Amino acid sequence: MAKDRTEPELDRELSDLQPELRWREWMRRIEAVLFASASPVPREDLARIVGQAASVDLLIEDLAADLEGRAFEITQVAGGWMFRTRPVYAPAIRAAADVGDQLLDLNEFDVAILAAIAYHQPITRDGLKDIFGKEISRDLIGRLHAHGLIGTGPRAPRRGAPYTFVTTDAFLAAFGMESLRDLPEPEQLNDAGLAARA
Amino acid sequence: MTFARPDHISALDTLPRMPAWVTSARDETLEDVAFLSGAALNHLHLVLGHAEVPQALLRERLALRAAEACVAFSGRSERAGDLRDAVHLLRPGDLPGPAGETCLAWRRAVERPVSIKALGRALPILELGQIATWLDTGKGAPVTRAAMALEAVLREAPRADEAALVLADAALAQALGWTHLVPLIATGLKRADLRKRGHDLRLACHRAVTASAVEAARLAVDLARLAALLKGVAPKLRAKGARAAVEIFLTQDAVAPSALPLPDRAARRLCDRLVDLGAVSELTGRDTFRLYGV
Repeated sequence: MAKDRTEPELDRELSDLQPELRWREWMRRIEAVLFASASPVPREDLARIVGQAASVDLLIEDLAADLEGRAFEITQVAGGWMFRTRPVYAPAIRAAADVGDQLLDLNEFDVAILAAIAYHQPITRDGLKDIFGKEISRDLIGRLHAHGLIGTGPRAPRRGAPYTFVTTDAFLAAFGMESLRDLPEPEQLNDAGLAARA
Repeated sequence: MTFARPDHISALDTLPRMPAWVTSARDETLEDVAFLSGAALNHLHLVLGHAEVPQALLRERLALRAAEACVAFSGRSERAGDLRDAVHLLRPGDLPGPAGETCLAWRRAVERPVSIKALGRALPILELGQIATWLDTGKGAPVTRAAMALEAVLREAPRADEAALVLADAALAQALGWTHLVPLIATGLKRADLRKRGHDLRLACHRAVTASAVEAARLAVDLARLAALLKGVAPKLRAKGARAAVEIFLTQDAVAPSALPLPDRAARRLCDRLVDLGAVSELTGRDTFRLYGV
């Protein structure tokens, strides 16, 4: 245990409650944890707050059913779950709140670089240069890094063993993907005339 | 340079050969494919029982093929060489990337004896309880059990095909009474097979197991021969630490000279010498960041 907890141990099993109430309580706990977390919460963490025998998946399913008709929903992202407002309310949120700071603030070129990394990872800065036909600034890479969208991957087997870049779980969360398979197929992009290179 | 062939290579003639009717038959009914997969598995079982076969090395090489297949299933373009690079050029704290992750998962799956815990280590996204349930889904003969485990995972977690394939091979190994997972199903299936269910999926699994078991037995015999060759030249190596280096070559798919227990330069020289002796080969075709393996 990293932290020295002074509060009493969390009662996971809740054996003094009726089965039905117990289940509701577990659902609420998961709801509370997801509400309090800004990043996806992995299964292990949720499993720690409910009974040993309880299935996190079933609890999540029931919770998702409860949220039917609300403005937010539970989504599975990058091996965990998080609350997210439903996409139809995006214009309302943007109109009402000053969310500029929270937005990733990426311009089109940043996103293009990010997409190239996603498809061709692990890829070096030189590899990106080959795709885009120009030098990719360290600033841009640094910005993506600072947002936690990319991380350093295995070294490239080239002179100087340069770093490669790979996308992170935060990248998946930011673009609402569960895994890299949710990226559009390269053929699809070709057909749409969007791919610079197959 | 010529050298006398070591004697123990002749012992390899005792390794049983796969009967030709297993490999030549093309059959369509479940009864026939099941018969052939049984024959192929039994043959592989006998081959794996021989002490000459470098088991850990064989498993690691099959794991690489399985990872390559999984990466291809997921629509990515990395091949075996890229996967090796991803694993060997990964420094602590760096992310392996999608293909590297798949490769690491398979390597972890074959590294230790099959157990829920070992599989949980290979597939950290799954709950241990869930792994246990899926692993025990199947009933009946080994390939059927593996196919049922595969189907259960694919049905309940349609996107987790990598986990599904690992668990199917784990179920197969358990049903066959093997201590370690030997990747067979993943290497033999085609991408379209993963969308099949029930009878068709079972048929596909039998075909996959037949093809992979034949291939694995061939690889096992090859590796046994090469391992014998390597053991034969080992006494010629005078470098300090050469014995330990040979042990590493006998258990690992690919080795970077820097991973050998010798000083850098001595390690590179040892690798070059082993290549000259024909005991290992350079796997990447590069001048730098070379990887060597039996």
